[in-house]
Amino acid sequence: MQMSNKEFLAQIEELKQSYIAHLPEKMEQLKKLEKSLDEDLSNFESLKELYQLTHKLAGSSASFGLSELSERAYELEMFIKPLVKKNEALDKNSFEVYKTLLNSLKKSFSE
Amino acid sequence: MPTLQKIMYVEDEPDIQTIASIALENIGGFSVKTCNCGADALKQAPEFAPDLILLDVMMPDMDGPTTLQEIRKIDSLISTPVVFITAKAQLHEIAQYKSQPGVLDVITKPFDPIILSDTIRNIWENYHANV
Repeated sequence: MQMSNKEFLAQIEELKQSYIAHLPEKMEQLKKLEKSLDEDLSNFESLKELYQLTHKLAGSSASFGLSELSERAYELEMFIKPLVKKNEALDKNSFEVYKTLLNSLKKSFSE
Repeated sequence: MPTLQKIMYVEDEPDIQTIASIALENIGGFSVKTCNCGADALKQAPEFAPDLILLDVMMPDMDGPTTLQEIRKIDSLISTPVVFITAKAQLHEIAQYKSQPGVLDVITKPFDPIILSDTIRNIWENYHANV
């Protein structure tokens, strides 16, 4: 049985609300990774996890039309990507950029 | 032209998986099997025998292109058509895979769930019209 576009959109809206309700958990994950990188910049595993997390966030939030969140996650993803691909950890210079990007991502959670 | 009925979608992000399967089942009328990772797909694909596989490019552990290599080692899936799904960030990396046999096209995320089924049907029809 195929549903109408209207029923379908209502179902997507429901999914979107549930997605938004679970955003605080993603925020917690983000904070956990931030903490572990703050303590140890060379923690490559955390950086890799942060890359996966921002990649997923950028994709899933865009699917629900949360463009601000998606753009900020994408910026951070693109910043971390070359490091992860080259197996490099954050250094002091990139750490500042990372902090700025992370802060604007965190802000976009509440928008 | 062969009928497109069974679609396997390999995607590690549950939210996108849900949107896509609702869209494909309820708007497109397809039967959909979703898999969370490449290994899961390899396990389930032979029995499900999909007409088409939608394959996310960036997944932890086994990425989309590697999953495709492994899929092709299974006799019954040697020529099953595949469409890659990728975030805009990976789009330039995927051009090389598009030339592989049986890779019909690449769809970028985020996709509009309302038109996803039509997009896939068009890709399917174009491919079979040109074969």
